[in-house]
Amino acid sequence: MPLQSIQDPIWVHEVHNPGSNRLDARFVADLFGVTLTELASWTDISYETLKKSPDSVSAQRSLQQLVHSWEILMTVFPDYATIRNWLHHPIRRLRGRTPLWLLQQEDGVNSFEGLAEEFVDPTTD
Amino acid sequence: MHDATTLKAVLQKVPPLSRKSVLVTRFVFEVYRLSAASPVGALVNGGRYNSPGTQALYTSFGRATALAEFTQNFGDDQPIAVASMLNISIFQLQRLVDLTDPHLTAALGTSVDELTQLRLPRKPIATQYLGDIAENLGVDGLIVWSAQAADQKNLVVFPQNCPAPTAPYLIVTKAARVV
Repeated sequence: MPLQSIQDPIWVHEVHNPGSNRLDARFVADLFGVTLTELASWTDISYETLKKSPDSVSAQRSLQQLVHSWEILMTVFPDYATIRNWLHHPIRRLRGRTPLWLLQQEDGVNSFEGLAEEFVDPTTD
Repeated sequence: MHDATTLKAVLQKVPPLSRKSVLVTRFVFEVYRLSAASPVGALVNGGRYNSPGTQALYTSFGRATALAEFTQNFGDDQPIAVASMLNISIFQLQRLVDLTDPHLTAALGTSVDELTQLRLPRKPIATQYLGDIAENLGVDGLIVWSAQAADQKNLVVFPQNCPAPTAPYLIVTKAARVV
């Protein structure tokens, strides 16, 4: 297949910094539909650090977990808009709290990734 | 809930139940149908009655309960635009423990509320220790209260403790689109 026929060739840069090829907090925040300030509050990285270096090495672990979670959610939701809507929606699994609430808890990114992975086996609770 | 030593002592004294041809149900997203009868999901992250690293297959006795479990991550006004499969598995269990028995619950020093309390993903919870102790004692299944459907029961199976001839097997009976 000729390269020219591949659709959407910029997809790989969706969440990566084109300069460093590392995950970029600004793009991940856009993906989740939140501000950089809000995304920073989910992690151990300060807003000032992410603002200055959105592709900071120290932020990569959390950003990887968020992107990994998103990729799992993409397997069961039809589109990005539905995922973003789900983030704000109360769910029984969390006793009426939202997935965004989970992200705001201590170690929330890790818990959120666990929640996303539960979609592989959604009945373990 | 009592400490691990007491839990172990209580569980060791419980006369195990046995069941043949138990009919149970679980729903999965069709994209993950290949592992529908596998405890792999709970193995990785743990579940309510197993810690990460311990195999456990979570099923429901009632189909409505299974659907409530499956849809727990969605609001009722949210469409689930992903096909799912209804799986019915039949097990033969020889060392079953009924955690919905109020006498046993009391002996374990716990309550329905504690057993069904909010469990955050990847956060340890007392029920995991209880399940792990039972699994280590060779228990092959736990009858438990559903945390999603009040007064309904689920069956947590530890396949590794089931004798090989009675290992769970999958019968795909239906493919449905939940919208």
